[in-house]
Amino acid sequence: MALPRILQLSAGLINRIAAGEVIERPASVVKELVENALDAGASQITVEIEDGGLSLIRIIDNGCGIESSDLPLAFASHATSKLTSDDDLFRIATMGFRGEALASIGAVAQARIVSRTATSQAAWEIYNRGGAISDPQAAAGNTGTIIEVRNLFYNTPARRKFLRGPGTEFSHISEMVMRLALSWPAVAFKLLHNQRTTLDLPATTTEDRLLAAWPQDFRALHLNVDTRDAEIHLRGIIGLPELARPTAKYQFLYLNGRSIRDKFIIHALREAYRGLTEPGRHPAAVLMIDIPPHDVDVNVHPTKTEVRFRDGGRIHGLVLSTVREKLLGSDLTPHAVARRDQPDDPQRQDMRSRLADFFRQPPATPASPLVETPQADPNSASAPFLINPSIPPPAPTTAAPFNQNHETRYPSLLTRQPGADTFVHAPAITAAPSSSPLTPPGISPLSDSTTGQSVAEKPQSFDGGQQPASRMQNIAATDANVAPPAIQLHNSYLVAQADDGLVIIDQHALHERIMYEELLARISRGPLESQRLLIPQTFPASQRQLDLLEQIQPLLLKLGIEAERFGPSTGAVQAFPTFLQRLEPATFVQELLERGEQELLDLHEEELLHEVLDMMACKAAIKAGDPLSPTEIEALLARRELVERSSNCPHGRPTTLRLSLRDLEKQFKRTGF
Amino acid sequence: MKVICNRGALLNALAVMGNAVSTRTPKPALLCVKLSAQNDQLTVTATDLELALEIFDNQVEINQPGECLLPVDKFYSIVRESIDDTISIEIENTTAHIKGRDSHFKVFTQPVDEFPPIPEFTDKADLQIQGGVLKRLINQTLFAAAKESSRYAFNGVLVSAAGKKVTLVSTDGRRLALAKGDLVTASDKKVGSAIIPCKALQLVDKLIDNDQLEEVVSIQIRENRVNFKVGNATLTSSLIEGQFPPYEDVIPKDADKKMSANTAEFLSAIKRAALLSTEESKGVRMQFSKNGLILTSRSPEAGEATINFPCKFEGDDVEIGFNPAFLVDTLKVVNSDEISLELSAANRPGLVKSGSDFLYVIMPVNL
Ligand SMILES: Nc1ncnc2c1ncn2[C@@H]1O[C@H](COP(=O)(O)OP(=O)(O)OP(=O)(O)O)[C@@H](O)[C@H]1O
Ligand SMILES: [Mg+2]
Repeated sequence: MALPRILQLSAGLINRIAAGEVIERPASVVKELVENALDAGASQITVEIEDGGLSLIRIIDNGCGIESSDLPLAFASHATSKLTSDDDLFRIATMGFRGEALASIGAVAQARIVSRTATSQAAWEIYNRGGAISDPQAAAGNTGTIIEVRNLFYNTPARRKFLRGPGTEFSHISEMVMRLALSWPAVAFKLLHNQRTTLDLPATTTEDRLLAAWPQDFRALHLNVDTRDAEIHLRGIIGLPELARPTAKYQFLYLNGRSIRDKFIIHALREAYRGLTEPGRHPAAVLMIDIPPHDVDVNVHPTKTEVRFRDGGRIHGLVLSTVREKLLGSDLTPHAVARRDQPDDPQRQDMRSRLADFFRQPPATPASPLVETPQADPNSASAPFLINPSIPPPAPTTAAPFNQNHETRYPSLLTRQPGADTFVHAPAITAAPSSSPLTPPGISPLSDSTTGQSVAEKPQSFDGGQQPASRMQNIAATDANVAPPAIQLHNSYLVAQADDGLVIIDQHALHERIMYEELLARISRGPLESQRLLIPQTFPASQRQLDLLEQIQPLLLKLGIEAERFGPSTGAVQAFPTFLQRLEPATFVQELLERGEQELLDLHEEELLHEVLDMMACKAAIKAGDPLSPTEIEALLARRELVERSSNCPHGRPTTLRLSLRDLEKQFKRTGF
Repeated sequence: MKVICNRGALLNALAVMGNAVSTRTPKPALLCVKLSAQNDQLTVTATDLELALEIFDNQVEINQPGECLLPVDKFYSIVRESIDDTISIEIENTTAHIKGRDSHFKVFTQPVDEFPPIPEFTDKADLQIQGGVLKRLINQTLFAAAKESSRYAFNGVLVSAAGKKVTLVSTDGRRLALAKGDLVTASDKKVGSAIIPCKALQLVDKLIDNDQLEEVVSIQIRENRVNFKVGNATLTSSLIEGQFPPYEDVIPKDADKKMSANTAEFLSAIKRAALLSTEESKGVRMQFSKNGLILTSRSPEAGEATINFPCKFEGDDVEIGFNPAFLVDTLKVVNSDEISLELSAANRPGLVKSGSDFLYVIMPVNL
């Protein structure tokens, strides 16, 4: 066999290889050419595509044009008008800088440039057919440049084979043009495919242009961000968590006007939405970051989509804090019915005020047919729709027929005096005030008493666990100030009136969310308060689990869990957070280690912290199916206001759904009158 | 079966019965009480399969002996709401006719043979104790037992007897209560220790009539069962299997600091110090010195509380955190005016004592 010889590659071949890195597909060509047009100061760019760019890509701009004498240089490798000194490479302010793009395109296609500068009398044209460059010739044309690229990859069949169908290639082009257009709101963009206009973006404001990146119905669900520190400027739009999608389709990142991919910034964005979106979903966001050119290296990737920051941590921090603060400060409650209307629809305002008036009107007669109970509290005469649960019902007497009524209505408020045949109303809040009304039975020892957990804990033995009927009447509160907080449905959901409609709350998810936030805040002030155990609680554990335990021990300590290896196949818990009193310490730690062993835990400090907090919050929170007293509901809702971001639970599921009056009107087909 | 019952006596029986039936069972028979009328006595029985309660009601007139199963909730409601002094119950096939002066309820019964057999209480009692003493022991320990721990032994109260003394111990792993009381007669047989489920003790507590605290309660402990005889009722319950933790070891013996205080005043100080604690910061910080005790609690949302509590304190200054609820629980059940709290270090247990009959070990909280 002949020994292979090492040969110098021909210039043409070098260019074709280099082109492979810059030009992957028609969309890459479009990118380079549109960038050139932008660098040329164009205010109007038209992109015409045929057959997905396989047969023709034509870019027409009204930029500065190219001098006829420079035309041959435009196709030359490493020829650029954009870097004049070597220093410039480190402060790149234009999209192009390598002087590589046109050369690469010319190497793998048949290209033609027609260009005319503002001062020139005529346009000039030049051809490049697979690297063979023609002489410039006079031609007809307006000021600006037209570049046509035909038969892409005609001379590199292998590459051409890798191209997808025209439809797919065009969708890449379309996305590319969109990406470019987003950061240039003052430039009008037009995209045509096979002579049909598919995108027409007139020059506009930044916000409006950014919104063009998303479907029409996303528009109402966005927040604007705009912050700067000494050198970094961050602006853009972010979508409400409900817009997060399984793909990153609606995510656009820009650095100094250049569309980039950056794991760092994506991470910051994901962190900001943590707990608001389900895991694996990508929030919708268009973020533009402007930093001094010398703080970033954009020349690390042939297509310039990856960059290297001098101070990545700072950018990460700015993105995280800006987006997070914006989200925290906003009402993120998702809409039970997708809203398609502008919030300030006049018809809707009208309906709102009419409804408000309706509820303000004094009832015609005190005995409204809605009130069936003749023994209704006197207070209800002025508010016939409302039986306020904060007004205790009249104390039942032994023989009164109402007795049974009250028993079934307020099962959780009743305790029976031992041995007596009467029922008394237990105070809704236990005598010891430090016990939170939300604390489920058994968790708060201050209210734990041997007698307290007798009949009251299993009301179903006498009333079959019926729903308290009277709570249902809270729904039509007349006065927002005394409105009962919410009604509980199926011991799982709370329904409450909101300013513009109603909200439906998942009690477990909300409480979990609240606990999570409180814990997170609490952690920042030092280790969680933890209760030492009388006797270490031991549990069986595998070697791997014990190793893991040792690894995460410092973190667990911060969370109030003191756990350690106790023997070759045993672990032991010595102290456990006080607020998790209801849980079995060993069971909790065991579950944590099992998850770790199955590699379900992210062991990075920050991630792990969140995961353990999630677990804690989930386990400590009231469950679906737990009956809540009105006081407990009130306490829960009051804390909803206190806790930011409460519309999504830590797992990213929503805690609250909103039905606006508008939605209701639509559903009831009342919008017509 | 045909009986005429005194409503009050029947109602008292049924009120306790409600606690003995199963709460969640697919078997309708287990939601029933069994009535057996014979020998001038109506026996009312309920069971949740773990324990069974029988009450013997002799304020009845039996016209025709017999048995039936009646759903306890309906039956109880009928008796409770009744306006009569006497109620007659007559069984005809599968229907019970419950009649008062102006009322006639026909209630469908369940087949009697679906009711599980209840173990008999025949042998001589092992332990005899005054109702009032047992009530105190239960009250002083039951609260510290776990409610639904997977460590089953924590869900009960350990009862053991030696000579003329009986000891009840309970723990939930964070605190431990131990109460001692006198038996009426020294237990002759050697009685081992048994873990009695909380629910059984709760019922026993209810069965002990506050007006007859002198009355003697008889207790039998057999392999896996415990039987109580309280007045006209017997209660039998299975025991909790498992190992009760070696509680002797956790009672601190090295305490070198000691606070003494009036029980009610200390209780009040703790309750007030706890007013601003929250779900995730429960602990109250206690700084002991010669000058007394300073209790503080702090919660970022609510604020801070400081209580200066004058008390006697011997030993070096110490600062320790406790879950106030755990202290409140115990101070509510001690029956002496003075208590002492012994300590050694911030991460070591505290020991509450009242007289020689009650002690309470409480683990601190790391604040
Ligand atoms: N549409 C245009 N209008 C005006 N001048 C252009 C246009 N397109 C290309 N040029 C000129 O041709 C030169 C070469 O373009 P090319 O895209 O190959 O390199 P570049 O933009 O300088 O760098 P890069 O390879 O990074 O894109 C540019 O520097 C510019 O002077
Ligand atoms: Mg270029």
